[in-house]
Amino acid sequence: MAIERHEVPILMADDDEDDRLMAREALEEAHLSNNIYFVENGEELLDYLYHRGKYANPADSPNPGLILLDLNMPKKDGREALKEIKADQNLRHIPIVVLTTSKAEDDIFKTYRLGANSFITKPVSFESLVDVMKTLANYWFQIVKLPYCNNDK
Amino acid sequence: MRIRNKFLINYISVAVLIVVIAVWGVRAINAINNEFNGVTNDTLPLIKAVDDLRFAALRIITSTNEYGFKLAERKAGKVIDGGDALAFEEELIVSSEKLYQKSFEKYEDIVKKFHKEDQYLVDVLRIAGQEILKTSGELIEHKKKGVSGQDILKIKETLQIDEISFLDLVQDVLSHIEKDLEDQKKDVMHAMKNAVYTLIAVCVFTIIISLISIILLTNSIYYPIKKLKDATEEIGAGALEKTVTITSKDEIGELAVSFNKMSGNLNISRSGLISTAIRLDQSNKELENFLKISSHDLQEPLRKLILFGGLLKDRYAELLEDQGRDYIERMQKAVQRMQELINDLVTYSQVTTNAGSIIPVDITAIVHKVLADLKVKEVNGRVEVSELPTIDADPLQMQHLFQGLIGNALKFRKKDEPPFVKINCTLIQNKAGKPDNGAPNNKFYQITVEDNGIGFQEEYSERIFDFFQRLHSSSEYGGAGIGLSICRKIAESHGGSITAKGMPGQGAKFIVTLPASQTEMGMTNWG
Repeated sequence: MAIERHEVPILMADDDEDDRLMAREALEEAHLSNNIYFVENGEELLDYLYHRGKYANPADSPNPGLILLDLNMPKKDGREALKEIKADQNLRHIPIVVLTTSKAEDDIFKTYRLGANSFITKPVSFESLVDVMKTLANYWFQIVKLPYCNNDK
Repeated sequence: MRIRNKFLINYISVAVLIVVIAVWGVRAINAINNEFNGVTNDTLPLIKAVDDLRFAALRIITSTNEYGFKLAERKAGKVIDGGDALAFEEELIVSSEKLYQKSFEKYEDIVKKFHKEDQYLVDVLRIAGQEILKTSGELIEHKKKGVSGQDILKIKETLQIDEISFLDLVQDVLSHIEKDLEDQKKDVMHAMKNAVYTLIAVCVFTIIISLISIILLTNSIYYPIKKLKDATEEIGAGALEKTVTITSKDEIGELAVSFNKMSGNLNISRSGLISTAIRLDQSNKELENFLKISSHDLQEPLRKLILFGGLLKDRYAELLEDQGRDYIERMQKAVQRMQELINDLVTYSQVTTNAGSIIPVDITAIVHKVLADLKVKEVNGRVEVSELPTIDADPLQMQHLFQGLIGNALKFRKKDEPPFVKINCTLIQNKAGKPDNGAPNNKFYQITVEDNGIGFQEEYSERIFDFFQRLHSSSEYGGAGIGLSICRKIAESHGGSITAKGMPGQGAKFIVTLPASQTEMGMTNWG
């Protein structure tokens, strides 16, 4: 079941409540109507993608068309989650944009090697964050053709 | 035994041997001398006496013959004045007899003194001599009585027989003496031979004894000293646990004891140093780690401050009074300053903890990249870059270094004058006053970054490199006061140095010295 592009759900994995709030506000500020779902660590991210535990119902937890991934998270960090997702035949097609405070060359290199699609350092000001959201939506949902975005596995 | 005593004993033994040689030598010379004296005091006078005796006897015979001849002539009436000639011959005979007696006494005397065993020869010779004297005396006696020509002839014949037997006897005596002389000569030769052999034997013995004692002495000194020398070399090479075992009770034994004490103390102090170094290294690493983590973690809440501050201002500034908006403004400035500080700290932490790989780096390219980043045109600045070398370095750190120096030069410009920066380079061989850091050939490049900015007072030329050290308020010139600290840290970690010269209002000059090449040891430990 194909869905409209503007309805492509975004999944954000970030342990920082403020960042989650800002991401939601920036999405609104950019007038994007995509639903955004949140998980707080790598464990939860994988639970979500595999529809385990509290994410068992696909209606509440639709398959995302784009994942925004923070690297430094408790329990299972972004690097490990990234590795597991990209190792899974059924999940590796989902584009993953690393959105982190890190600027370290080492992190950039390693995450691209693990299969990340983009690496963005979290902007310092709100305006920049809005720009990032706009650009991301424009690129991934307008310019680029994504593979099937449906809730069937 | 003490080394001094060893030498003393060695000397004494050699001296004793030399005295032995001397005694032997003197004895041998004495023996030869005795033999020689025998010849000169005894044999030679004996020969002379026998010779004199023969001479006297022959003269008696000759004169007697002449006497007899002249007597016979007179008898025949051939000679007119025969009286004087006869008297002359008679006198001759008498004097010869005297000489004969005298010589015989001397001969007998010598034989009695030195050759008692030859007394029989004296007796025999005496009898033969007396025969001659008797015959001679008979002739003179006949003359007085009146003598016939036949008598004279008879006497002459007797005299001839006497002469022959006497001369035979003399010949026997002489050959006997000659035999004695031969024996004496043999004795002298024998004594000399003995002396020479003994001397050679004693000399050889002395040489061997001295050689053995010298070898023993040398060994007793050489081997312990060699042991000590080897141990010293090992200690010099770092094996401080090395000790030597020398049991001798001499000065070298004492030296070995002191040596072991020294190496023990060195070892203890080195262990102390090593553990201190390890502790220092640990605490340095902890500090670096702390800096890295804290500066990184500080960024997170700061970002939020900026984020929410921005949102607050954007969305709610209108709802506030002027004072409220001023507060937000001030808060945001403080946050911005905090961000600069933390950014510098992060840079410092990155530069000091992430030593990258050392590769040949073209400094000219680095400087041009830095100039592009710095946007020199925006401040109407001009940068003149002369030819810069390629050196072994960490490229990222070189970028930080020149970014810091050029950025500094542009930042502290005069308000009424566009900045002008000059970058030069000179090659220095064997940089004086710099400890060898392992860079081969000791080839260094001195790169100067000179500006026409506000300069500084000479007394601050060291302080400006200190951490968080600023000469100006942050409202005049921003920055955390870390930039030059980073520059110095980079220069020093490459085995180089950095100094500054300046005068207020007359610009500043930064002098960076960097080695042309790095060995593996060249990159000093960070921290």
